[in-house]
Amino acid sequence: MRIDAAEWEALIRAHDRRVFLAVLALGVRADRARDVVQTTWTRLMEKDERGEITKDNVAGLAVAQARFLALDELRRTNSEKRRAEPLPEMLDDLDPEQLLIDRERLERAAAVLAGSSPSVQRLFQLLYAEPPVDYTQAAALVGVSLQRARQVMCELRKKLRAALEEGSS
Amino acid sequence: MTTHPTAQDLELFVMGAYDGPAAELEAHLADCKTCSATVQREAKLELDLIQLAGSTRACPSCRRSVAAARCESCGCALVAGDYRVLEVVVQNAHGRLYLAEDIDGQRVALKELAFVQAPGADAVAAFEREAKFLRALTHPDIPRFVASFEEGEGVHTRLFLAQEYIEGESLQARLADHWFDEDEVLEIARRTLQILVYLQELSPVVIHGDIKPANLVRRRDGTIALVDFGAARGFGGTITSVVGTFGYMPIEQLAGNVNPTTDLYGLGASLIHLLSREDPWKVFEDPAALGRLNISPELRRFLGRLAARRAADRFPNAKSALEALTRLRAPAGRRRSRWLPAALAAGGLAIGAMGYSVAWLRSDHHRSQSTTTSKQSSALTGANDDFVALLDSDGSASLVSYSLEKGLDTTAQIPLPSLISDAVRDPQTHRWYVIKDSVVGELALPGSFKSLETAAAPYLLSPSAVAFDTKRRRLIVAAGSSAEDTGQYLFVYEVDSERWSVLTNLGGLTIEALAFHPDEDRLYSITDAGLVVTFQADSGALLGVRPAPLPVDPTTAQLAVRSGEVLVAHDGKIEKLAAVTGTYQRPPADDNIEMDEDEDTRSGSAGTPADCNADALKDRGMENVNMGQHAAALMLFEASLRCRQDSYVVSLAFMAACNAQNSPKAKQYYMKLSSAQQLRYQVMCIRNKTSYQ
Repeated sequence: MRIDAAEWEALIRAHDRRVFLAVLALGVRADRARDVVQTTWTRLMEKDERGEITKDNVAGLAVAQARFLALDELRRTNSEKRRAEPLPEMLDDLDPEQLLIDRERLERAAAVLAGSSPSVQRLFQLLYAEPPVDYTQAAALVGVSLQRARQVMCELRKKLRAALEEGSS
Repeated sequence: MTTHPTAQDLELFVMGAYDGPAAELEAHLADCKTCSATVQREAKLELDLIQLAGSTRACPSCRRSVAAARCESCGCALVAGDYRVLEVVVQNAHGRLYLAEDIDGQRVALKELAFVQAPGADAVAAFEREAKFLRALTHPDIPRFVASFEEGEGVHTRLFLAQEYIEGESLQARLADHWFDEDEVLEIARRTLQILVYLQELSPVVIHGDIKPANLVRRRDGTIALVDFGAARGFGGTITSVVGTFGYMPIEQLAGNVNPTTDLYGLGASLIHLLSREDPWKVFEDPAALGRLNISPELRRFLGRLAARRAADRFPNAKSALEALTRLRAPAGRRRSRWLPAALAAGGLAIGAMGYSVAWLRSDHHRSQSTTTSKQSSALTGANDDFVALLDSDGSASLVSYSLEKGLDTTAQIPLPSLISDAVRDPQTHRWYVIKDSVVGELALPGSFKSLETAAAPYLLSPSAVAFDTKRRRLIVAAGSSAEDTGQYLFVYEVDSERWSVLTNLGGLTIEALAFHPDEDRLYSITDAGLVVTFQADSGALLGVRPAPLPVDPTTAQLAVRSGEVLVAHDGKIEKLAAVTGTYQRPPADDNIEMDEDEDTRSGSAGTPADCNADALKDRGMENVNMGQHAAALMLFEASLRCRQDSYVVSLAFMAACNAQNSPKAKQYYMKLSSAQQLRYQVMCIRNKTSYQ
């Protein structure tokens, strides 16, 4: 069954940022990353026209498609250093040992998150869980100022970063 | 951008929270490898955080991040059985009601009962009862049963009941920002009564037992659904526990007695809540509150009957209530009829010529359920030796002449309308004040009735007796103020200033006959339990309680004062009250009540060890509770306790004391309650403003 316009709009709203971050994380310039993301969605819509995708696997396909396009972008910009790094990262997902390490990292971070105040946890969920909301909305829902919401999340990221990097340091 | 952005700017950019010039920053990133590397690092962290958020879920209750099926902080379920919890609709000490969805996205209302919070047998029984009833019920406005299942073991056992999720807003929630008008309330009443008719036509009859605004859900199309069958019962079973919500359940339900009128009371209380925006018990407490509502007298009367304090005063079932509602909603010209036949005018004139005050035997619905003989009489004061008495034969009434010496003279009977239940005459103006069809009004001759229950009047529920205070020229009316169980009041109507006020709260007593004694400046009354109670006429202060002779049927007796003597008319004869003898019941022992001198002459006091039958006494007490006669009920419960100690009866005694506003007794029995019982029942005293600690 084809995905209609309203459904596409909802899917893009839900996953666009994640796709953008995935591209940025590969080292693509921010301005080019936006183009890559745009192209990603266009390609997926074409696949949908051909009946090759379903609504349920759009999120995963979007990240995979964006990474593919990002690597191509890096190759085209002739960045030898970038070209070497991303491919193993994509394969890491299949490595059981890496999966275990990732799980432990996430468990440490989850423990840090669980130890924070309910309002901070709620802010985190609003900003990072699906469907995500923007900072203005999240701040209003939690009942804090926009500035305070940013400050709180910067502090939380710092703690979570430390927890995630604990094993690797 | 020539200079490097700060690390925080880069972090905010990746977080999507940067509110500076993004284009400039991106242009800088295109040329700056250092900053690009920082952004890359931050982007990786962001991806980790998204993954973290995906591996946890916000608890639907406390909003904390949870990675398991249940929140460790508040215990709220995120997943139960095949259902994913979306939000907590309501929660209490023993469980929660969730909005959840199954794997197909079908939404259900998922009720959870947790054993770890040690629910009583009542809670478990209520849970199982609801599942049982929902399985059996099929009605578009009752949630459909979906599934029931159990999770965990031992103290971690949790019971779940999934039922159709009624999408809409409870009337309780709707109260927050909506003002209900009369038409809307009538429609809610109609739709709810239709559901109750369905329940009451089942065999056995199903009593919901907890009708309140929170359990009435209004869908978007305006239809009403009835939810939460945790208190439901099949009519006719024995009930040992109290299930329901204070304020919405009639007094008899507190004692475990439910019948088809129980739900009508709950509906009435709910509708009053919607209109008044006050908790019903507050409305019931203020005699004038219902009268102040901007609703038609017809609706006021309908609500009063729905939520009448005594079960006997309510509609007998939902069907009759619905029929009454249909009539009420009919065009005004069809629902009222002239009640005064021409014969009354003639009769009234004849009475006036006699110069007596007169009371007619009650023959309206208020008395329709009492046992009457084919001919009974009643009488009130007269300036001469003769009385005017009333004969009531098969529902029709007529006036006859009566004297102590000659008895009834039935040769010249004058027919009267049958809906007059009591009457009294102002000897100065010769105006007649009557209770007609449960409305207090003036009988203006020839032939018209003018209600005294104006907008400024307090709400008079089922007025039962009137007397005329000749000294102060005011009408005294015994009536309920509301459908609540706080008993009757004595209301005062100043005939010259046309002002209403409250003389006294009768604290659980229900008066059936009333007379003013000008020499003693007292009011004499007979209660429905056969007690003779006297009040100071000016202040309404309670002066004494004396047991009336048992042969006097309080539902048909009338009091009269003549030549300084109090007379009682009953069973076709008139006797001096002091001269009547018989078996007496023990009046309520209250420190504030003066006992009459002949108390010691009583024989066969209820509950003496010699004729002890604890269960029978308790049952009789319950009958009194059902009639709203709490003082008498207390007496019987105490007698039962003298026979046999029973914690259940202690709790009944405590509640009766609260309702009778008998503070010493309330204190006495409160001390004997378990802490759980204290918590459960103390609200009775709080509501009745009875000190209990």
